[in-house]
This record gives sequence, structure tokens and C-alpha cells, in this order.
Amino acid sequence: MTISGPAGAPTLQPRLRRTALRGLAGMDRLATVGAVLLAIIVLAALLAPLIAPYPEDGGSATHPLEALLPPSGAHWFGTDQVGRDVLSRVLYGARTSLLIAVAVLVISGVVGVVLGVVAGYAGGWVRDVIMRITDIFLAFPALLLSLALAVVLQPSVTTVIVAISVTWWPWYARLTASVAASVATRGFVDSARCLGVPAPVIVFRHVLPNSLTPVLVQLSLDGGGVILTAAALSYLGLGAHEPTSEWGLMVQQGQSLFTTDWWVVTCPGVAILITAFAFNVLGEGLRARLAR
Amino acid sequence: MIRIRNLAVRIGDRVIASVPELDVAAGECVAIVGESGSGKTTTLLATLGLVEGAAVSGEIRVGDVDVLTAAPADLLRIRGSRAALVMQSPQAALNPTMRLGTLMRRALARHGVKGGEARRRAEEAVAAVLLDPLILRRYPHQVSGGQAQRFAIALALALGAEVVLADEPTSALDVTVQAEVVAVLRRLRDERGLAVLLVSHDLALVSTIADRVVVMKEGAVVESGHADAVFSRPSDAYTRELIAAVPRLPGDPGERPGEEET
Repeated sequence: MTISGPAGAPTLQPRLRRTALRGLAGMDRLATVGAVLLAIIVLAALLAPLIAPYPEDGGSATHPLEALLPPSGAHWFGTDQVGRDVLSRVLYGARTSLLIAVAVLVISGVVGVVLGVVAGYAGGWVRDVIMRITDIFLAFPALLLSLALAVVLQPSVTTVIVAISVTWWPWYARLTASVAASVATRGFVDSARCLGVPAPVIVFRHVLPNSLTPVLVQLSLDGGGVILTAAALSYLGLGAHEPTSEWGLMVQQGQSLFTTDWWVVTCPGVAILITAFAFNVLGEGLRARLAR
Repeated sequence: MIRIRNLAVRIGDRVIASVPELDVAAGECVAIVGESGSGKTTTLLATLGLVEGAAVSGEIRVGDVDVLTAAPADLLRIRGSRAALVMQSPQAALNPTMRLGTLMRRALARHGVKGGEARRRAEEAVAAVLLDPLILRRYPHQVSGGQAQRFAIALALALGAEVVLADEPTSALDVTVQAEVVAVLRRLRDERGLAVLLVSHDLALVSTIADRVVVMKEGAVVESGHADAVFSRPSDAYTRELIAAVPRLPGDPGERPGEEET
């Protein structure tokens, strides 16, 4: 009988180091388009003060004499009712929308995953309590609950973030709980217990990392939904308010002008459309890839 | 190292495992054999106080710790550092998101071994099971089943475990790799005085390593004794059945259990 000793053991293959890169390369074309679009939107948001042609128009500047100018070389997307450059406001609006999207996804993701993984691992009455609370939140129509909360709180970007997060986390809790329950039966969880690892450490170090994949897919799919919901709340006057640049708010302010000055409402509308689309195709691509 | 007296594991009125007496001394390998559902794995898990949803009675000692009355913190402490489990499917037993080195470092830190001492122990243990130290940089999916199983043994060694509880440690491996894993266990038993409590249904394998054998059927011990004696003069009909079930090849040199005295 032979035993392969240190000399005979195969050496670490360099190709194994490229797993992370292959993650991106293996995505289908549409998902790549989504990732690229999203990267452009993020860059535009980050660099808004540098690339906006009229940075002060992202805020409270007014130029009454230049109100409602159609798109031209000086104002690519035209100007709004008070003469602000719509392109500049769309760029600044990307900051608000992405901030809301990221904040909502992080808050609801963290809350949902933590509750879900605890419920899934613990089982029994702990799971029952957490899941019934989750069900109660899911029983309300999400937009109505968000609206009700936004009405009670002062209209602001923070309000939008809170109102959406409250209706968003239960989905992640439910998803994570079902995944974590199956991860909890896997061998490495047993072996961690056999090595004397206490339950909290097992939950967060062994069960949680192995339960994340479907949640990450869901998070990227939901980015678009959050942006749409945030735009809807702002459109209804419950979110961001003047002079903040926010796409939903811009659509609301421009809607009465649609027949005469279409650019005021169309440009932020298209921005919402493209961002939601980018999140969706990226999420679908991730899902397809991870399902393989 | 392990001392079991009048162990009974019950679910409701049903006894799923009953072991009147079982001792494993340092440098000794005791094998529990029997078919699926015979209570062998339950006995193993009870040894670490890991049986859930069932009532356990009797006496179980690992070293000087009484498992059934020990405080939870003491139980966590002995798991791994006194007695470590080697599981059936080696890769499933390793967290796929952790490099093996990280896993070992964290396990050591959990038992109070850190820094240079942890690194030294990890390297020493990996060498003791004849693995390349580079394996510590790999993820579980990058190693073979045999390597993963030897790593599990190395983990037990690094933690300073005096007892290895092996639950069907080779049934997920192919035959040549089985032999490697058994050879490693046998060498550690002989050279380091490791106590091994092996659970298996594979009598051919058991005959190559076990000093003593306990045969279980439907939750009860039907026969126990020295491996040679049990294999050559099985007293129980069930044991004879098990031995007869070991597959043989024509022209087999006759090293299989039960062959010696026929």
C-alpha cells in the first residue's frame, strides 16, 4: 500500500485562483450589459459634481429667464420650470436614487438575513415566532404599508428608506430561513458542533455564509424594485422634496408639462427605466449563473 | 479514554441504542459494527453529548469528564480537544466557504491555541497525516475525498484530541483511498497512542485495524470481544451473517475476516 506523501501531493494549481474573475466572465451577455449600465450609473452618481454641466442646478439654483428651454447644445436634456439644467438634475438624482436603493437593500438585507438564519438554524419555537412576525409584515400590501409609514413620518429621503425597508426585509427573512434550514443539516455544521463550536458562531460563521447565494441574487433583482418604489413615494410627495434632485419628484413636477415640454418628465423617467432594467438583468444573469 | 456503562438512548419507549459496557483505552482501536439503524452512530454521538431529541441514561466518560452531567461549557471544551469526530462524507464536513487553513486556525483559536503555536501545530498535524502543507491554502472543493478525510484527522491531532471517533470514515471513499486513511489511523494509534472508536459496517476494513469489536443489532450489543476472536469464532448468528456477507474474490489470499480458521 502506498500513501502519497508531501512529495507526491499535487501542487496548488494557478487556475484555481481565478474563480472570482470567472464569476464575471461566465455571465451571459444581457447580464454583462446590466453590470456595465449599473457601473456607468454608479460612476455618474459619484462624479455628479464633476461631470454635471451646471452643478449648482442640482440644488436650489433658479434661472427664471431660461425656464423650459428645449434640449440644445447648452442644455442636452433641456431645462425645467425654474430654468435648471435637467441633465445636471438627472445626474444628481442618480445619487439620491442609488443612495436609497443601497440603504434599503443593506438595511432590509441585514435584518432579513440575520432573522432568517437564526430562524432556519434554531427551528422550533424560535423559528415559529420569527416567521409569524414575518408573515404579519407580509400580510400588508407593501406599497400601502410604505405609504402609511411615509405619511406618518416627515417626508424626506430617510423616510423613504425606512418606509421601504420595513416592507422589504420579510422577503429576505423568509428566503434565508428556508435556505438556512437546509444548510443546517449539512455535514460541516455537525462537524463544527463536534469541534465544540458554540451555536452563535455556527450560525454566523458556518450557516450564514453558505445561505447567502440566493439572497444576493434576490437583492440584485430587487434593486430596480426599490428604485421604482422610491420614485413612486417621491412622486406622491412623501419622499424627497425640493430642492433635492430625485427622479420620482422630477417626474411628478414635470408631468403637467408632458404635452408641451416633454423633456422635463421624460429624462428622469428614462433614467428610472434604465436603472431598474440594469438591476433586473444583472439579477437574472446572476440567478441563471448560480443555478448552473 | 472512553468509558461507557449501561448507556441507553431512548426515544419515547423505544430504546434505539443500548450499550452495557464499552471502553476504549489509549493506543487502542475499538470498532462498532452492525447494519444501518443498529445504533452505532447514536452511540458515537452520545459519547460527545450530541444526541438530540432522545433521552440518554447511564454513564459516559471521556477522559475525566462525565458527559451526561457536564456543564455545557465543559462539553464544548472536550469536543475537539479531547475527542474529535471524523465524519462519513469528508467534503460535506468542511465549510465550503473556508480555506482549510482558516478552518484549522479558527478551530485551534476556539480551544485557546493562537499565533505561532497554532501555525506550528497545524503544520505538524498536516505532516503527520502525510498531506502537503499547501493543502491549508485550499478550499474543500479543491481537495480529494481522501485528502479531506486525512485533513479531518489532522484537525483532531492539531487540537490535541486523544480520542478519534470515526463514523464510517471510509465508506464515501474508493478502495485505495480507504486504505490510505486506515493506514494513517493505524499509524497514529501505534505511534501516538491515539484511541480510536470506529463505527463501520465494512468488516473487511474493520479487520485491518480494530483491536476489539462490538457487534450491534437493532440497538443492542449482540457480541463483543477481541477482533481475532470475534472474526474467527463468532458466537452470535448475526455476527456470522455479517461475516458471511463480506464479498470475496476467487483466489483471495484469505486475509478476510472469518477465513483464518475455516
